[in-house]
Amino acid sequence: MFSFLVPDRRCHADPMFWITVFFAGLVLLVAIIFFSYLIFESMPIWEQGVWAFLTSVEWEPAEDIYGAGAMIYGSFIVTTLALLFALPFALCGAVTASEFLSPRTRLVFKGAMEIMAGAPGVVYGLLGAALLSLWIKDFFGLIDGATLFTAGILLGIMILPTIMTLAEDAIHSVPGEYRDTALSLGLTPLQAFLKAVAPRALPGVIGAVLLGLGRALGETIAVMLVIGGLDIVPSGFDLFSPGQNIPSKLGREAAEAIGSGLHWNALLALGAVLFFGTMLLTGAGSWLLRRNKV
Amino acid sequence: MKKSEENLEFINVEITYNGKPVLRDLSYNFCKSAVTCILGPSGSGKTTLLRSLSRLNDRIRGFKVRGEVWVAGEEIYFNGVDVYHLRRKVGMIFQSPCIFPASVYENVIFGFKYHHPERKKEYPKIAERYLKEAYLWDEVKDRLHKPAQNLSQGQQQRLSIARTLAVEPEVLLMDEPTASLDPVSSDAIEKLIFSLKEKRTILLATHNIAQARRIADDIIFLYDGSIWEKGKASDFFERPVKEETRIFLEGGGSSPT
Amino acid sequence: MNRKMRDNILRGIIYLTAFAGMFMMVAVLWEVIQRGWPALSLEFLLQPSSNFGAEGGLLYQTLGTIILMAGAVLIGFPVALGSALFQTEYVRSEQVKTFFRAIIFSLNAVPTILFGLAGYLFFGVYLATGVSWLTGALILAIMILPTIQASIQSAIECLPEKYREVGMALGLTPWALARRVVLPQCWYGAVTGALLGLARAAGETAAIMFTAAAFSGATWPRSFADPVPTLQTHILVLAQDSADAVSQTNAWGAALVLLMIVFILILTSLVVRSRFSMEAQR
Repeated sequence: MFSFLVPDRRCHADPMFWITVFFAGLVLLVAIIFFSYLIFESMPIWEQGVWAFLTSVEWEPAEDIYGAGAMIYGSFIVTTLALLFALPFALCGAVTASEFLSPRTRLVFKGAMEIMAGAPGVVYGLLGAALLSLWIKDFFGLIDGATLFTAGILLGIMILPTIMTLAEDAIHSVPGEYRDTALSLGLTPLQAFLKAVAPRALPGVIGAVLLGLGRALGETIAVMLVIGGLDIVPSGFDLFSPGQNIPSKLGREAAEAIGSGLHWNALLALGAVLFFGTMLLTGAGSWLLRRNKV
Repeated sequence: MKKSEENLEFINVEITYNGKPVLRDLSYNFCKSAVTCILGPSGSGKTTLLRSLSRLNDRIRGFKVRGEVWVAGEEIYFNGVDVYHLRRKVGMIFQSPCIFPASVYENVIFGFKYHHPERKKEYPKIAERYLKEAYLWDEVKDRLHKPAQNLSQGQQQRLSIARTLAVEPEVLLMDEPTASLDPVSSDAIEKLIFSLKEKRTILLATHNIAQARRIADDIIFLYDGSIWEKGKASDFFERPVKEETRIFLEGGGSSPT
Repeated sequence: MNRKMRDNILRGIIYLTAFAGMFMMVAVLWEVIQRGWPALSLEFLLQPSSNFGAEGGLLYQTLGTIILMAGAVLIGFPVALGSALFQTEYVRSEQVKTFFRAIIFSLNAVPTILFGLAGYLFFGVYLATGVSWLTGALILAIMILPTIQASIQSAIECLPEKYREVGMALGLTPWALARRVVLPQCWYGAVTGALLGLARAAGETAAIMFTAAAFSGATWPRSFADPVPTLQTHILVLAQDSADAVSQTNAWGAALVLLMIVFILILTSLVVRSRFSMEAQR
C-alpha cells in the first residue's frame, strides 16, 4: 500500500511520519474541496449551455440571465494591453541587466525588481484611481478616466517588474560559453546576445511573459478601481470606454449574490473561467521556464 | 537458516537497475578482521557492491537485489530487517569527504549523539577517543570548536572516518576513500586502515593497484559486473589467472593516483 | 563602420527603453512616497481613525493587517513545512511527487479573489462564523501555502545528495535525517518562505475584503468572531472616494505604510536567501 514511500516499517511507526502525512493530506483535502466546489457550484450554468454563457453579453441578475461575454472580452483586452505595454520595457530591462550590467549592479537591480514585483495590488489601485485615470482623462479629453485602456496600462506597470526579473533569469541562465564563443569570433556584445544567447533564452522569456500575464489576468483590486465597471463590449474596439473584467465583476457582485441561487452559480462559473485561464497561462509559463533550466 | 554473528556474505546475488544487471552471479564470503580490496575498472560495479551491503540504494527507484546478502547473521534484504540498525553495524566512507557545516566536535559525535542521546556526559570523551583512533586528534585538539570546513581535504576525510567509527560499526565500507586526496593524506589514511582492521572487517573499493598491493589481505577483481578473479593478495598479484586481470594490472588500473 | 553604428544605435534604444521602464518603477515609488510622506507622523500611526476612516490615524488598520498576516503564517507554516517534508523525505515515487507538485502549483495559480469567494461562502455561510479575522487568516493561510512550501522545497532540493547519504550511512531514520541533516542546512528556505508568505498576506486585498475586514468602526478583535479593519481595505475604500483631500492624504499615508511593511519583508527574505543559500551550498 505504501509502495510509493520510502520502504520500511520503523519509519512508518514514527509519529513524525504521520504528522507529515497529515499535513500533506490536509493540503490535498483543501485543494480537492476547493476545486470540486468551483466545479459543482458552477454546474447549473454549464448545464444551460457552455457556449451561450461564454458568448452572451447579457448579464441581468434581476431576470436570471447570465452571459460572460463582456467580462471575458474585458479580461482579454486588459491583459493584452498590459502585455503590449509592459513587453518592450521588460525585455529591454532584462537584456540590459543580464548582458550589460556589472554583477554587483545587476544584483541591486534584481533585488529592486523582486521587491517591486511584490508591491500590493491595492497600492497600484490607488495610483490608478487617484492619478492615472485623471491623467488619461485629461490627455485624451475623455469624460471619465475609468476605461479599459486605463486598466490595461495600470496592469502593464504592475506586471513589468515580474516579467523583467523572470525574463532576466531566463537570459542569465544561458551558459556563458555561448557568449564567449560568439565574442571570440569577433561579434560585438549586442550581436553575441542576439545571435547566440537570445535564441536559447527565448522559451524561458516566453515563460516569464506568460507568468506575468497569469498575474495580470487574476488581479482584482487594481483593475476594479479603474476599469469603470460597465458590462459591455464597446463597439469598434473602443479602448477608451468603460468595461469589466472577470475579477472585478466578482469583487463587485459577490456581496449581493452570496449563496443566492443562479446568480451565485454564475459568479462561480465566471471564477471557473478565470481559473482555467490563469492555470493555462501559468502552467505553460512555468513549464517553459523549467524546461529552460534543464 | 542462521548464520554466525560475524558472517558477511553474498550468495548468488544479482543486482539490477531498471532491469539492467549491474552485478550478477555474486557469491563471496568476506574474511573477518581483514582488508578485502575490491579492484576493477570504473563502472565495474564496485560502488554498487559496497552500497548494497548497507542498503543505501533503497531510495533509488528501480533498484532490485535478488539472492541473499548476509550481514552479521541476518539476511538484510529480508522483509522486516531494521535497516537503521543495519547501517549502524555497517559504516560507509565515501569517495570525497562530506563534512556538515558545524564544528569539528559536532561532526565527530554527530552519529553517536543520535544513537545515544542519553550518554551526553560521554560526548567529549567519545570525540577524543575516535579522533585519536583516526589519527586526527593532535591536529585538531586546539580547534575542536572551530568550523570543520576549514580542515584540509585529508583531515576532513579522517574526520569522516572518526565520525563513522564513533557509531562503532563492525564492518567498514570504503569507497575509494583516497581518490580525492593528496599523497600525504592518502598515506595517513592507509596507515589508519591498517590499524583499524584488527577489530573490524574492512572492504575497500579502489582502482589504485599500488594501494591494493600495500594494504589488501584479500582481493576481489570485479569486471563487467561479476567477480572475475579472487584470492589472497599475494597470489593475486604474483599469479593472475585471467587475461583481463593481467591487462588491468599491467595498465596500472584505470587511473593510478 | 556602418555595422558598428547600427549596433550602437540599437544598443542605445535598448538602454533608453530599459531606462524608461526603470523610470516608471521609480515614479510609482516616488508618487506614493511624496504623497504619503506628509501624512506620516507618530499620531497618524498611533491614533484610531475617525469619520469613516477619512480622518484620524491608522492604529487599528495596521494592527489588523499584522494580525491577519501573522495568523496566516502561524496556520500556514506548519502545514507547508510538514507537507514539504513529506514530499522530500518520505515519498519515493516520482509520479506521486509530480502529483503533489501539480496540486501545489494549481493552488498557486488560483486568482486570490476566488479564495475570497469560496471562503466567503464556506466560512461565512456554511460554518456561520461570519466576517472574522480568523476566517481571513485561514483563507490567507491557504493562499500563501504554495509560496511557503515552494520556498522550503526548493531549498531542500538544493541540498547536495552527499549529506543525506552520510546521514543514512550513519543509521539515521528519515525523520532524524530531516531534523539533523536537512533542516539545519535548509532552514533559510523556511525563513524566506515565511517572510514571503507574510509579504503576500500583507499585500492581499481581494481574498479578505468579504471575509475578514470591517471597513470602519471595528477596533481590535475581542473574540475569534470579530472582524478587523485592515490597511488594504482602508486604502480600497478611500481610493473610491477621490474628492475629499483629507481622505486622499490618509489613503496615501496608508499606502506608504503598507508598501513599507511589504518591502521590508521581501527585502529581508532576499537578504536571508542570498546570504545563507550560498553557505549551504559550499
